[in-house]
This record gives sequence, structure tokens and C-alpha cells, in this order.
Amino acid sequence: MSKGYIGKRVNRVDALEKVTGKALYSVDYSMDDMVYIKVLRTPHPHALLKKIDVSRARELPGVVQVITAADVPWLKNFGLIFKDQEVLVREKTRYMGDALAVVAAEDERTARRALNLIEVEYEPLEVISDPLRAMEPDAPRIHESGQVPFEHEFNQGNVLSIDHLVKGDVEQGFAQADHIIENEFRTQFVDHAAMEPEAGLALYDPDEDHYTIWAASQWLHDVQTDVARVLGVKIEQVQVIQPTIGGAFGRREDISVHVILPLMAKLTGRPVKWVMTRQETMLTQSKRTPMTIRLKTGVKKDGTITAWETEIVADTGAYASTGASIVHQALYVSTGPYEIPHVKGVSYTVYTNNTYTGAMRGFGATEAAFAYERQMDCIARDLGLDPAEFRLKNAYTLGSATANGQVLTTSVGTRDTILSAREHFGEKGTPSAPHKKRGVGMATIMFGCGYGEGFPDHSIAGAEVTEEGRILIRSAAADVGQGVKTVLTLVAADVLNIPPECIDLGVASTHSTKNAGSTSATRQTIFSGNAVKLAAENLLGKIYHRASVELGRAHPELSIENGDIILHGTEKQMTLGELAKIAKAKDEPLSAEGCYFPRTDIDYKTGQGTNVYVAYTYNTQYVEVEVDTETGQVDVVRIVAAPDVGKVINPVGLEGQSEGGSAMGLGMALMEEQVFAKAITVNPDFSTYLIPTALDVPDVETFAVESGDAAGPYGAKGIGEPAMIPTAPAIFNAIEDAVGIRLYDMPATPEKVLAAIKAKGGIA
Amino acid sequence: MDKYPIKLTVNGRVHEFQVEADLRLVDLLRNHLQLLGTKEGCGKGECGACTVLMNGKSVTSCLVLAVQADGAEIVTVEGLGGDLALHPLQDAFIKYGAVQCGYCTPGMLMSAKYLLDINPRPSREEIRVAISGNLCRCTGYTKIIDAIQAVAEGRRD
Amino acid sequence: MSYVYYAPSTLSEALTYLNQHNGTRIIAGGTDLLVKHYDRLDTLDGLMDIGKLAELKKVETGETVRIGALVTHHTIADHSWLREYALVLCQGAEAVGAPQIRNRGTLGGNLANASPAADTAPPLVVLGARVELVGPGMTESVPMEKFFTGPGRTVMEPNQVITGVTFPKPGPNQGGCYIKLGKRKAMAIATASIAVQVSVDANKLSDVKICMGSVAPVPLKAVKTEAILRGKSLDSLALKEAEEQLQAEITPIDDIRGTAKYRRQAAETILRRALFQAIRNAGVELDG
Repeated sequence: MSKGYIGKRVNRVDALEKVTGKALYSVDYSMDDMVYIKVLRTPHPHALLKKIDVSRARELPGVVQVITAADVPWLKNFGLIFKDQEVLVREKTRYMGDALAVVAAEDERTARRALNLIEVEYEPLEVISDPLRAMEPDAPRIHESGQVPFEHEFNQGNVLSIDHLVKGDVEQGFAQADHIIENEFRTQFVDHAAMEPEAGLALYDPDEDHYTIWAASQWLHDVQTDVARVLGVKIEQVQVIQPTIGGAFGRREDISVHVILPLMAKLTGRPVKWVMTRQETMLTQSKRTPMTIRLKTGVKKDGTITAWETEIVADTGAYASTGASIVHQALYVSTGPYEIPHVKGVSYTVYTNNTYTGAMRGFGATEAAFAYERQMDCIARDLGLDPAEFRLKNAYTLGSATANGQVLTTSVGTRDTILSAREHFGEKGTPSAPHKKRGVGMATIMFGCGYGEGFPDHSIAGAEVTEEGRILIRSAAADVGQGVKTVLTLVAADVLNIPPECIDLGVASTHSTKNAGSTSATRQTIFSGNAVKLAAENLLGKIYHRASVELGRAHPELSIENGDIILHGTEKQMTLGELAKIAKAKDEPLSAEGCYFPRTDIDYKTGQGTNVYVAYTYNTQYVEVEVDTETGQVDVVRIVAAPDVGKVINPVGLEGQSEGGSAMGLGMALMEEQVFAKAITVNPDFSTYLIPTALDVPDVETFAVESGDAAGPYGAKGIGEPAMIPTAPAIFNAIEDAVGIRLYDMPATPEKVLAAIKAKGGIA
Repeated sequence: MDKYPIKLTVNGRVHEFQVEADLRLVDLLRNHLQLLGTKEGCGKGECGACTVLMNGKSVTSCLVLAVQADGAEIVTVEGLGGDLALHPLQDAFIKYGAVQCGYCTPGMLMSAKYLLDINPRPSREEIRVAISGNLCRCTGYTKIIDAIQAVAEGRRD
Repeated sequence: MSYVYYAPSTLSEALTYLNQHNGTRIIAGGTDLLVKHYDRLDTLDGLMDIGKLAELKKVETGETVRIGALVTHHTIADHSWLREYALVLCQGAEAVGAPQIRNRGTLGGNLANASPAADTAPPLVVLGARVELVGPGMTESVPMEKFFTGPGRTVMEPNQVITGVTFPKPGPNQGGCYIKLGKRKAMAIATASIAVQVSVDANKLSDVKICMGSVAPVPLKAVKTEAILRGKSLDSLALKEAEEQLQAEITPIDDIRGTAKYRRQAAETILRRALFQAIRNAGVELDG
């Protein structure tokens, strides 16, 4: 039972330190006597390394150490799933940005100068920047041999993974259809553009043979494991401490600074600091995975969808990272929140020499939704159906089976989100000038929370009463800005029935907190929320037990005096801190743990399972645009969002995710694209890679739908990723509504919009 | 490299340094004065994270050389207000949920401070223009604008 | 390392120093120079910071307007006299970067940087401005349309300093307008831009000045297009011929901000919009 802290508008627990400038981010850590790192990156996306000479760099005064792969032959490869990425290139570069050498120097300027003194000779190879070229039999192999055994089909030339989705009999489904609609959609390379660049500090203790790393990560314990494996040391020899994180959006799942920092700390014997420049992070760190998505849909005259076929070709770039998982997730959700009896799909994840791609907000679901919500809109228009009614006719409801075959038995809010967003949107406004046209577009999406698919996905949290009488919550769940710390605090406050001000969240580190899994897959509210809830409940049991012994009252009244929590027994009272001291003295400390570890499953051969994801978040957005018919510029004037999150834990956090997600979706829809020319990035800075400013994003109106009864605490589901997913297709649908042009590729730049308007002979 | 003497006021206190000519104001603040609230996001004046007030005007401190700040009066987020005496903007940023990851927040606050200094009653559109040089990837700006508008209107709810 | 920094307090000190130190770069607001060299500031040979030259910070109004080279974009955009008489320049200054950049960036710096996309250049061209260049023992005044010689290149000698720009006060029959197209609404370098300044007499365009940015290696004064429009009656202002002429005058290229094709399409649109708005700003009511 909720006692009053859930769903209330509260201040973020970390807001004060952030508005005063006191919060310490990865870039802020420093130590006396530290050295600075710079990394030499290859400008050649695909080349054999013929010679690398660092002798002149080593001679530069102020240079402490210069290393290449030859100096550290024992280093293992890294990678989130497939270990296919070299720390330092041994023989061949695979993308522009592969690391060739590391310089450690007394200051950044010297380190930078030393880079210029390193001489490298290359033998250029054919650069593959098109995944279709990469799939041809005669294309040169980017990776020579197979990586890690995996349940998917993989390792066929440059094809990393082939995945399948089979439900019903798609041919039978198409035979039942009156109309068959086929379209091909494309999504682009997008940069996460977190405001904080990759950075960190590391220290090596030779006496203990122990490494300490201060660098942001979405998943501390996974980084710890990979770093230890790459360095060839035991896991407990590597401690990763979480600084305040300046945004992540998926990018901080990957190893960035985390291996080179401890390596250089050991080799130099000094603390080591590394802050990437914006250009370095844009050129070398992971991107959103671009996809070409072909959809074929069979529809009856009355708007019932009978069959759906999907084919996806995706470019994971030079390395796998989580690419294969992103792409099969795109495949699995490629039918949207619609019940379709006959589904067939295949996806190909392909290596190229482009900058490697990895997790970014939506993890395939963003790309899939762009395609399926454009497809739904195109079908509705072609068949003369109302876009919302057509969706409502096919939308999931209780008892629907997903494309993965999971029967939805709880918390299915698709229809409610459509109805809510439609109602709150109301009517579109009038254009601000004669040459402008207004249009409305909608999109409705689903997102499976958690890794699902049988992946060992769990979170462990601790809760304890300190001797000062405060509650300490231990969780490694990374707060990347989304506000999980505040969610966990509210959950603990609610269980313990004490104000959030009495609760502290301990520093997240691999040595003081247990594995909480990744802050990704929109899973922390569910997973760490449940873990903290369980831990707090277990702690409450211990408090009650101890109180019954010491105070003669198992369920004491609580009061707060001068910030102390006072427990009132039948005759006496004491502070919670005093109770904790007594308990500790009796060797029964007031501390507890909670673990949430749900079971999921899938058969990768068909993409079918019974419990593929633990919960599904739904979100519908209505977007209004104004299109300048003479310049092609698109102004988004309104975004109305109705996300179904089961139960709202923190309304301010929910709105913040909805607003920020919409802005990111707007950027992807209208302006963002990392452009490659033969695998070389041509726009590696914020003056050429544009993200939305305050003038580009309208006020976002969010109306939560609470379908309840989901897997998370109090029936909650997550919101991080689904917040952004409907925005881009809704904007494209609105553009089509405004000026009648059918665009299939993101982003809808003024140029593309104007060309399409001209191609159809202008606007009446 | 030669060093040059400079004298400047930062958050009301006078400091003297000998600096090299390639040192930027953002480096002086962060590395020499340990004023870590000012963040660097791009180094090219394109993101606004390093915004401070220089002689009362908002500037990106990555595009000011420390030698150019000789004689200047600088205010950083640390000079805006502290834990015990928050500036109304800081208070509003907390209350309106204008902070997520927080990396853009110090620069955003300084741009907001500059706006209210020169235009105490801005419209919502003027607020958008005023923070258009401060990129935020988390919030979508809505709550930041709400917070600034609340201060401008003297609301304390 | 030879990196030397020098901050003169007077113009004559600056000129003497510049004449004696080859390779010295002049820095004012730094919003271009420090961007270009952001990760290698130490490789600049020498910098002369003219930021202390108070004589370059003035705006003088009157029959001849003189704006010092160190006047910031913010000052220009906010200047009430300029807004009344030379709005096109204020609109150009307003379109530069973001508030922080407008607070540091200077008019002289914007010109010396010589970007084909510079936001203050087209307005100054259509206002008939001249650039004041001062070198050792000489001062010259170069018409704006002759100042730029290519992307990043001007007629300036290495020992010269821009001290300001001058232009005649526009008459009451004049109006101007600057329009910039970018890929987003703030902090965007122009995909294409245009400044138009018109004079209206007896319901006719007695004079028209047009200059476009980002459609040629330098800010392009469309003199032939101007000639077509000059003398046209406002009652029958057909633009087809002018648009065709404009297409012949501009030479846009493809780059990350847009293709040549788009720039050509946009050029016609912003010509029409800027022209009509300039006419309205001259005090003439127009339909639509």
C-alpha cells in the first residue's frame, strides 16, 4: 500500500548539488601529480598498419609514456557482447577513430604535441561504408574470423548476425488481405550528444595491485568485469566509482576511457586523467545504428491487419557493441502495438568501416517505430481511414499476443494513450503566414522494458539504518540524469513511511554496491525500484522485530524531531539511530537486501516466447507542425504526449523524461545526422552536427496514463526510452498531413521537404 | 612559454596570476581556482556549458583567453548562490524540475541571470532566445523556461 | 616556443607592434579565432589583443554613421538609433550565434574573418558601408563590396587593422531587411542569407541594394538583379526577371549546410520576402 510519497511532486534528490555547481562529474576529478592522456586515432577507416614510430614523441620533454599495441601484447579485446574491439590497433584499422597509440604527459598541451610527432604508415584497403556492399560475397572482410559463439546465425562474411521472427503463416495472412502495402524506410547515424564528453581519472596501487577508476558508466559492474578481463586481472582488483553523470543516452554502456586509464595508471605509476574533446567523442564513440526497414502489410477493407512482413538491414559500423541486439529488438517490435496474426521477419546486422554503433535511447525500437508508425499512417491515408481509428482497431488490448507470441495479461494501455493524447490535443491551430501550412500527426508505440529474452537481468539493492538514524540505500543504478536516485528514494520513503529527507543514497561503486544491471532498456524504475522496495521491506521487518524487543511494540508510532526519526513504544521511545546501535551491538544490524530477478525467455530461431519482456510501456503523441512551403522549414508547434507508465512514481521526473525525449525525437526527425563520406565523418562538432536549441523545441504537454498492475514497484513501468520513440514518426506524419508529401528517410531537412514539395508540383 | 600577469575579480574576490597566453578563462576557473561548477562541453562556444558573466555580460569562457580577462569581473555559478543562500534562479531550477543530468545547468543559470539582469520581465519567447546558446540534451527546455519565467514573475510556489 | 601575447592600449602602439612582428594574429572577441584553433592555441605564433583600444568601441550616429571595429553584435542589435535607421544591420547582428557570442564577437572581427556566411556583411554592403583600414602612416576606406576577396580572404595587408565601418545615414524613404535561413533556429551558420535595402519614392523603387551570403565565395552584391528592380513601380512589382537574374549571379556550392540546388531555390524565396519586408520597413503598406 502506498503511504503517500508515491506520485507526489518532489524535488530531485541531487538538484541542490547540481544548481550550486558542487556535483562532481568525471571531468572534475583530479589528483596531485597526475598525468594527462591523449590518444592517437587513425584517420583511415580501413587500412593495414605498416609502421608506427613513436620515438620522436617519447623524446619530447614532458612526455611520460607513449605506448602502442606492441608494448602491451597481452591486452585482450573488449566489447559489450562480442569482444571484437582492440584497445590499440595491432594490424588493421577498421574505422576512423581506432586507437593507435597513447601518450601520457605532464600536461595536455604536451600530450597533444606528442601525438603530432608519431609517424604512421598505412596501406589503405577498400573502405566499406554501405552495408549492402559489405554483404556482397566479394567484399573484403572487416573482421577476419568469428567472434564469440552466439545463439544467432552470425559470422557470414561481414554479416554479424541474422535474426528471425515467425508467428503464424504470413502467406496465409497476405492471402486474407484486400490490400497489400509495401514501403521502405531509412534511419540515420545519430550522435548521443550528451553534454559531458567521455572523461575520467584512474589510480593504480602497486602494493595492493589494485585499480581505481572514476569514470561514468551506465553499468558499473559490467565495465568492471570487462576491464578486469582486458587487463588480465581479477574482478575485485578493479574498482569503478561512479561520478555524477553528464548524460548518457546509451553511449555510456560502452567502454570509452575505462581500459586505457587504468592501463596507463599502472604503466606510468601516476594518477592518470583523460578528457576527450568534443570532436574526439563525436568521431570515435558509438552512434545510433542506422537501418533500412522494409515493411509489407496486408490489410482488409475494414482496416484489420492480417499480415506483416519485415526486413531490416542495419549497419553496426566497425564493431558489434550491442548492434546485433539492437537490430533484433527492432525486428521484434517492428509490428508496433498491434495484434497481427501472421508475422514474418528477418534482420541483418552488418559490419562496415563506419564509426561503430551501439545503444542509443530506444535500442532499435526507435528505428522500428519510425517505420511502423509511418507505415500505419500511409495505410490509413491510402485506404481513407482515420489514422487514430485505424490504430485503435488493431491496437493491443488485454489478451493480445505480441509479435513475439507473448500474451499480454496486464497493464495494456495502448488504447488509453491514443484516446488521452487525442482528447488533450484537441484541434490544430491556424498557420501564422500564407505560405505556411499546418498539419497534425500521431504515433503510438510500445517498448519492452528490461533486457528480456532470457538475459540474466537483475538488480540487487541494500538498505540499512545508520547509527545517525538515517536510512542508507545502496544501489549501483546509474543516475544519468533521468532521476532514478529520486525514484529509489521515494520508494524507500514510502515503504518505511519516513520523509525522503531522511534517506541517503550511497555512492555507487563496484565495491560498495552490488550489481544493479544497466541504466538502459528503460529498466531501472522496475528493476532497481523493485530491489529497493524489497530491501526496504526487509529492513522494515528488522526494524519492527528490534522495536518489538526493545520498545515492546512491533509497529511503533513514528515522529520526526529535529530531523531525527523517533520511534514511540508503549512506554518508552528512542531514536532510530539508537535502535540501530543496539541492534548492531547484538550482532543483528538493521540492514537488509533486496533482489529482483524476473524470468524471461525467447526462442531465437523464431523470436517466439511466453514472457519475452517483463513489462511494456506505451506512449502516444500528437504533434502539430507548421511547414514553410517555400523554404521547407518545419516548425514543431505542439507536442502532446500520453505515456502509459503503469503508475507514476515521480511526476516531475516523468514529465522531464517526456519533454527531453520529445526534444531528442524532434532532433532526430528534423536536423540530426552524422554524415559520412567514405566512412569519414564530415560533421564532428556542434556547429555542423546540430541538436535542438530552446528555440526549436515547443513546450511539451504530458498527460500520464496509469494502467497500473505492471511489474515495477506500485505497478510502475519505465519511461526513459519510450519517451522519445513516437516523436519522429509523429512529426513525419504531421508533415504529410500539412503538405501531402510522403517522406521515408530521416531527417526531414528543409532541403528534403522542399524537394518533395517541388516534386509534387507545389502546394495548392 | 612566456607568462603574463593578470589581475581579475572572480565572485567578488580579487586574484592575481601569471598565466600563459594559451590558457583559456575556463581553464583558469576550473584548474587554477578549482571553480569546477563551470563546465566545458565543446571548447568552441557552441554548447554554452562554460557560460559565465564577464563584466556583467554572459560569455562562453572557452572562447576567452585568461589574459583577455585581465581587469575583468567574473561571476560563476559558485558566485550566484550557495547551499544556504540560493539565488532565486537556483531555487526555481530545483522546484520546477529544470535539472536532469545537470551538466548544462551552471551555464544555463548564468545565461538566465544575464537575461534577468538586462530584461527583468522577459516573455517566454525572449527566454527561449536568451538560452538558445545553451544546449541541453536532457530536459527539452520546457522546465528550464518554466523556472526562469517563475523567477521573472516573482512566483515562489 | 615563440607564442607572444601583446595587448596595446592605443591604436598607434598596435600599429607599431604589428608592423614589427610578422605573423602576429589580431584577436578581438575571439569568437572565430579561438574556435579555429581550439585544440592548438599554443601553435599560434603571436597574438595581439586589441580589446583595450577604447577608441574602437564607439558607435557614432549622424549623417555619417561610424561603428568602431570592437563594437559587439549585442551592442549593434540593441542600439535604438541603429534599429530606427539601419534595421538591416541590427537584424544581421542579431542573427549571429547566441547571446554569449554576440556579447563577445565584434563587427570588425566578423569582417576580418571573411566568412561567406558572415551575418553582418550583407547588411553593411547594402547600406553602402566602407571599411576603415589603418596601417603604418596611412588610412584607407574600402567599399564593403571590394573588401572580401575569397573565403577567409580580404584586401587587408598584414600590417593593417580594421578600425571601423562608416555608412551614410539612410534616408526616411529607405527600409531594409535581413533574412537568414539555417538548419535550426539559433546558433546556425547560414545556409543562405540576404540583405535588402530599398529606397521608395513616388511609389517606385528608386533604389534597391541586394547582397546575399553563403551563395558565393564572398558576400555577393547582386548588382544586375538590383538594376532590374531599380525604378520598378510597387503597383506591378513582378519578380520573375529579377529572380532569374539572381540565379545567374549566384554561384552556390554543396556543403554540410545545404546543396547548391537548395540554395538556389531558397535564394528566390528570401529575395522576395526580404524585398517586400524592406519595402514595408520603408513605410509602404503592401498587400499580403
